[in-house]
Amino acid sequence: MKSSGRVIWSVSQTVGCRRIGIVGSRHLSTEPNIQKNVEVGTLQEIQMSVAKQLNMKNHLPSPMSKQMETLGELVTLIRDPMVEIASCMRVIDKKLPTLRLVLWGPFGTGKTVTLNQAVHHAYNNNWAIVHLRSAMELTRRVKEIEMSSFVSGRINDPSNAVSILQNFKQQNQHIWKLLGDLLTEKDYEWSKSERTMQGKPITEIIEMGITAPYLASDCVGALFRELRRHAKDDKLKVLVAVDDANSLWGKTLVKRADRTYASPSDLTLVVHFRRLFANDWTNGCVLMVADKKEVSDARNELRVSRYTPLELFGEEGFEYVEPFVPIETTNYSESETDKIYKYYVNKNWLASKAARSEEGRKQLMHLSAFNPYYYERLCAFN
Amino acid sequence: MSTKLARFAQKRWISSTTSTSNMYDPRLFREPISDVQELRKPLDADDERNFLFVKAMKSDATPVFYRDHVIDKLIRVCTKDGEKETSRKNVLSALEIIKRRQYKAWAKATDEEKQSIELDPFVIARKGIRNCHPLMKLQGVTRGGTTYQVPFPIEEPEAEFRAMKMMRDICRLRSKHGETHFKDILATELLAASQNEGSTIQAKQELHKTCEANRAYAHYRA
Repeated sequence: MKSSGRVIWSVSQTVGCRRIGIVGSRHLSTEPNIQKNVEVGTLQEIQMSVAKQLNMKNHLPSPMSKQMETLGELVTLIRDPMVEIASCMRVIDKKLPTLRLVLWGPFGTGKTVTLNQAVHHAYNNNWAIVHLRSAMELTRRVKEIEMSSFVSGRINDPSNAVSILQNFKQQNQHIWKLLGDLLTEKDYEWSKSERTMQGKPITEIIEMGITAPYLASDCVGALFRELRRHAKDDKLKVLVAVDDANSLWGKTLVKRADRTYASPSDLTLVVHFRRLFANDWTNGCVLMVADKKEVSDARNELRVSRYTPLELFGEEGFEYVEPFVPIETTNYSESETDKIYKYYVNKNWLASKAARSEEGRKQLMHLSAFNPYYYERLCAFN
Repeated sequence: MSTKLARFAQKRWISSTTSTSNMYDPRLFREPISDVQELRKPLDADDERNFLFVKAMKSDATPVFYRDHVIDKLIRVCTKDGEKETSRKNVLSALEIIKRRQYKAWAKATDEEKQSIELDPFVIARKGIRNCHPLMKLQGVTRGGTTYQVPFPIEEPEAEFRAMKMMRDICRLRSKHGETHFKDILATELLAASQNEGSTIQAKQELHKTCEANRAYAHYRA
């Protein structure tokens, strides 16, 4: 464990050297091949058809997806964290244990957007994508529960499991044929009548889960297991992108029969995702977001929670995901706000004359305190 | 429980009168200058602010570039229970919704049509409120034990206020019970009013009709 950790750390250091300073040129890169070398400071357009396949509308933060709908295009700024992720993804091969990256940073600095950019990057490089919109959905937004027949005491979550499988199917249409060629390792006996034989394509597991929700939770586990195995055999590379990943070690709102809250390790889906985070497999990249919304309480005005990985993952979670490469997202720099500002002016999105003036440009920058979220909110009504 | 108590304590629960005394002694304090351009100029020699105290700037008078008289007033009019921050959020989101709708129409339109589509939500809101200004108001006057609704002329600021109040009441009525949100309805109303349509314009015309009908009572004004 320790030795593999050292390997990762040295990789991250060599990778970290490849950081480029902000490039002055501003051009829209639409061609997918340019993706292979992601450049800091460029505005990158994600084509609408791709955005639709990757289900960006649901995965992006709501203001951003609203913006995508209004402007009819999805343009994001490539910033330092994304470049770091891209260079980490480049070094991944079948000899290296999975590289675990944790995106962390204050509210509104682009953790989720960077995660989505990484998913798009994986799409361009024909990786398999396992993308979870928010780990909180598995722990706090569980609509129906079922007791697991596979392990006693485990709690299945059919609706979330089905949506995970559907999402996986939708996001991986670009390599669907390849996934159809990958075969299962062993016989899976889902129930008395339902089974998947050895040597069947793994897409059958997905179809099985989607059509039979009561089996879906187990199908998710089997799918992840097969993905890990095939990644180890260098059949494909896998990106696991989980937003709010620290929620897998947080609170749950699922109740057991005796009316106590279940711990997250009792939930089948949580266990399956944690297994993906373990670095006992190779040829994969696990991208996690540490988000404050797990621990912060909006009604508690006195406590301000921190947003650093150790505080958010907790000791248990931190122990589990260690060693990882921390990637911090930060507020905009002045040149970055300028790029966004120019983009908005070109698109005629800044409607009022005052906002298009030099004074407006400066005030937008300082009123938002360089925070990307607030910058967008201010531009939204001006 | 504690939050409930806090809310009880925070708001003016029992007293409904406006405050009569001010923390600023009117003999010692003068109004601040909140315009940045004005602030850079030196004060006049006979300005009282040269030797008296100046009040602190109000939180809604910060010199931001989108400061707009009509929008600020609309925010104040729409405020309920002293929650101005909520109201500001509502009004500004309404502006955002207007802008998004207009932008979508603009993006679809041909080049000639693009000229006629207004994108600036502030301009639309201003025009909408301007169109809703009533010309008269009705006020009850009691003569001989009967109350008559007598039409009175009004000044510009009051007309503006009444326009906003009419609009706010209509939006509140429709946004009851959480099915639709205040911001959505306000955006629709403002957009409609800027084209001389919508419920607020109707309410204004209704008011004008009643004023016309009650013309005979005009001599009760005094």
